[in-house]
Amino acid sequence: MCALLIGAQACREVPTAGLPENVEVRLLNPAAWPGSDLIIVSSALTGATALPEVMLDTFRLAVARVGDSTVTARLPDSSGTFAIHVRLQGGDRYGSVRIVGFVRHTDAIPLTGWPLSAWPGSPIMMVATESSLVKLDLRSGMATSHWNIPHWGGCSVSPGPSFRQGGVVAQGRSRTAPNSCERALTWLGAVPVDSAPFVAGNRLWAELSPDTWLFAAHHDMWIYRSGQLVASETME
Amino acid sequence: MPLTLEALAGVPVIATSTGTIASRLPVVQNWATVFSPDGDTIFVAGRRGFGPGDAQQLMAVSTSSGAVAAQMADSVPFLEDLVLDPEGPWLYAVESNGPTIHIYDRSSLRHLLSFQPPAASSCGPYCGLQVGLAIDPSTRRLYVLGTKSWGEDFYRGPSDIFTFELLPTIQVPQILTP
Repeated sequence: MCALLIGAQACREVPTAGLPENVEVRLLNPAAWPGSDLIIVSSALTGATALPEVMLDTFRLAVARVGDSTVTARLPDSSGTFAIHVRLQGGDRYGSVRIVGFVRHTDAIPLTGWPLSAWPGSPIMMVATESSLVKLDLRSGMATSHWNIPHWGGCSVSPGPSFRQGGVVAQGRSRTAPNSCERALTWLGAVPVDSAPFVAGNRLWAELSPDTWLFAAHHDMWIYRSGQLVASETME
Repeated sequence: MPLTLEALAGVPVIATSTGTIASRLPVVQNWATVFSPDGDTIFVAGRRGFGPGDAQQLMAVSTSSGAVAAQMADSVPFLEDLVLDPEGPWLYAVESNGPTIHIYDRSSLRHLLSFQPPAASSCGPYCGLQVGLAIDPSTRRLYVLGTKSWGEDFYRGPSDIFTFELLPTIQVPQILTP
């Protein structure tokens, strides 16, 4: 039976005596991953042999019993906010579900090498362009280069980390010989604060601690402390 | 810092204060690593050998000893990067060859689920390689930075960003209305 209310946006069925209005039907996880299960709990499920019908907008979900008063409904691999309709023992209950997951795709600037996160997991990353490092904010997709830190992928593929808070190691082209490199420098903001022990370039330079530098090349790495080699490794 | 390269003796973990090798991870190759906030554990996806049966595995390793504290039973895809959820019990990973997200329980490393962008929003028939994974816990967003081409200096070319919404860490049950 359908009762159409004046001004109502939807035509809903009038609750029947089979499921009194004071019987709660609860959705334990109104936000869920794509493809995961909604968890629906109600005392009305106890002893009931028939499973409820669960609709996500117009899509009928597969329902399974997991306990006396609990069923699950498998969500599709989608994302967004959806209306949910549970039909149970002749009565109807309504709510909404948010399926989290994919939000958007954004084109961003050309880059070279691997990015260096401002801190582990940070959405703010230092990335290398053809001639300098820029700060890329993954939240907005905006890149800023106000520090103009010279860096060239032909010298070091990627920017390197530094033990200094906020520091980054970059290596630019030589100012006098275009296909040669300068020493790698540690930058704090727009200021270079230290330099690698010698000129060489390949994968990256990292400043491990005061006067301690790691240099990684194709299949090798070396660590220098006060200009002296203290460790090395052939990777394969 | 972990060196995410190939090393037949095990990927070295460097003590940054001394510049020496502190321990070795039980893998010969890895790309995806992340430290626990206390620095005691490294979560790593890597291979124990270069043989045909040496698939990628996900494990939690003691930083100081190199001992494996937890390991996922099954093999994992080629994972490029990992991040820990600072607000929840989850470890997120992104595949190298496409912005597919995998979610693991950070204690047991049990795989919970995977998802990816709808095809219409992905980067086309040649999807580039993913180079970074990031999280903004305050807005419950996860970000993947990818590149669309491969050049003489490794990743080189236009990049793209995929944004995902994460589960809230606390949920209030919803009472459905008649």
